[in-house]
Amino acid sequence: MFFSSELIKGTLKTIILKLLSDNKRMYGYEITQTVKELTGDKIQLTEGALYPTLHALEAEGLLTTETEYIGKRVRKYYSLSKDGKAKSLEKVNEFADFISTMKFLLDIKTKTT
Amino acid sequence: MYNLSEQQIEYILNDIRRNGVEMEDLQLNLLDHICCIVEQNLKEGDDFEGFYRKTVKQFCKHELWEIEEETIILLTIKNYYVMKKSMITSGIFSATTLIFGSFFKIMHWPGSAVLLVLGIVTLSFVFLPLLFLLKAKEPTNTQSKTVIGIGTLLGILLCISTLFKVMHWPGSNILWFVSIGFSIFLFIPLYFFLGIRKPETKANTIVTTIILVGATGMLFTLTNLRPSRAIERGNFFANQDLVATRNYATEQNNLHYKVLLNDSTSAKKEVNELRKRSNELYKKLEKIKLAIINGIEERNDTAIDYTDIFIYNNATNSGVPAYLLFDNLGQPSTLIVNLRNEVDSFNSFIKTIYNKNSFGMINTQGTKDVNGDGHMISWEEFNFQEPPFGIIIRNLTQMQLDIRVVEASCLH
Repeated sequence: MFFSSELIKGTLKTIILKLLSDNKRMYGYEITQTVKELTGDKIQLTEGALYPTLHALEAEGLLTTETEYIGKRVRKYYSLSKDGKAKSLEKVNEFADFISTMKFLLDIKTKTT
Repeated sequence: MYNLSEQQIEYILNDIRRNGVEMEDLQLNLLDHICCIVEQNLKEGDDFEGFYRKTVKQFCKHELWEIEEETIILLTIKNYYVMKKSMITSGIFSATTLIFGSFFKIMHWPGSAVLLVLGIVTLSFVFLPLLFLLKAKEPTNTQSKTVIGIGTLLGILLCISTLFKVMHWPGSNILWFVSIGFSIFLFIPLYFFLGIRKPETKANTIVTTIILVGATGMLFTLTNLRPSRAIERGNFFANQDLVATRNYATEQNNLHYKVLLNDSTSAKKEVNELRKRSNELYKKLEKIKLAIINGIEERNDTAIDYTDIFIYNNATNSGVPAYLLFDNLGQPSTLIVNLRNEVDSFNSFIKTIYNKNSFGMINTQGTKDVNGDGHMISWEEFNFQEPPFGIIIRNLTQMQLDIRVVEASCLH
């Protein structure tokens, strides 16, 4: 089962920031593949959503970039800036809070109970 | 793993560009991404082009340029909030400084000029342009955008010409007429004819246009505001009378000088000194009058034609350039300060040599504000700041006559 793109859109920033805080530096394709693997193909980031978000995060000063030449083409690696590290923590905590609130709101019974 | 040839990489990059992706950063990101996918999923001998087409199709809903559009939207949304915040901050700031500036101006307190300039400059160069940019971003058609743009320009023009008027800077009248003309001949017609065509804005357009025409009309009336003609004429004739008396007194004094200087018993040195000092001060006053008239009328006369009533037409006190009488901080100009010093030195000469009390000298005391709170109005304010232009000229002529009267009392 795939999650709808609306659901992913609201959490994309959080996903990227968290991934980059766990891995020192990543490039775009690597991010999509890692997310795919970690979620067992459940979350597949589209390129049309990933790259605009990466550029926006970079413009906000949360990400720093370094480029490397792979043969003839250029690969852009993203990593967290100092602000980005703080923001990553904030976003993850916010989302955890959101999940527990949604659980309560929608009255979701977790499998263990 | 598939090995991409240089031609294939070039092919992908060109295709990305052809599909409307213009940001270089994004081009390179997409290129690397596509290359990774191809390398990971394609086997040697497979159909490269077909696979490439299929891959790119999954990237976004329709076309590749959507990615760029989405990026730009995300980048500008952040600017949008910063702009909106700055607009509100600058709006509050300029409104506050303008209110305080006008109040200070009415009360004749120092600092009004700084506040007014700050307020108007912020309003016209920060607030209004930001308002325009934010309004233009909203999804409207080009025609509405044009009206908003021209309206913003008109707002800026009106602000600037008000500033020039209040500060008595040169060129304020031209700016004022340009703004009003701009409003009547360009902005209001454009607004009216664009709005009246759409049924949903028709009623609103008519009402707003009437209000706009009314407001512009009132501004235009303000332009012509000046002292009544009766007062102008009264001042003119009063001044002409004073000039006649002044000239007569000058002649009479000259006759006295002649007699005294031929009289072997008189103190010639003192008499000569009196004549020299009196004439110097007299000429200084004439020069100030000339400077004021030339300043208002933007002329370059070398002498005053006292029979020319047109000097007084079109002249209001607000037309006197600030550097001539009182500067924008409410301080007398150097012209006035120097005059005061010379009058004082003339008075002290009369006092020491001819032993006159204050009645025999030129009055430099101010006057009590009997209609207001009773505080003392200084000589400078009384003669040069409060009255309209015509009376300032009359006051200066009066001082010339005063000199002749003081002289006469010394010579007798």
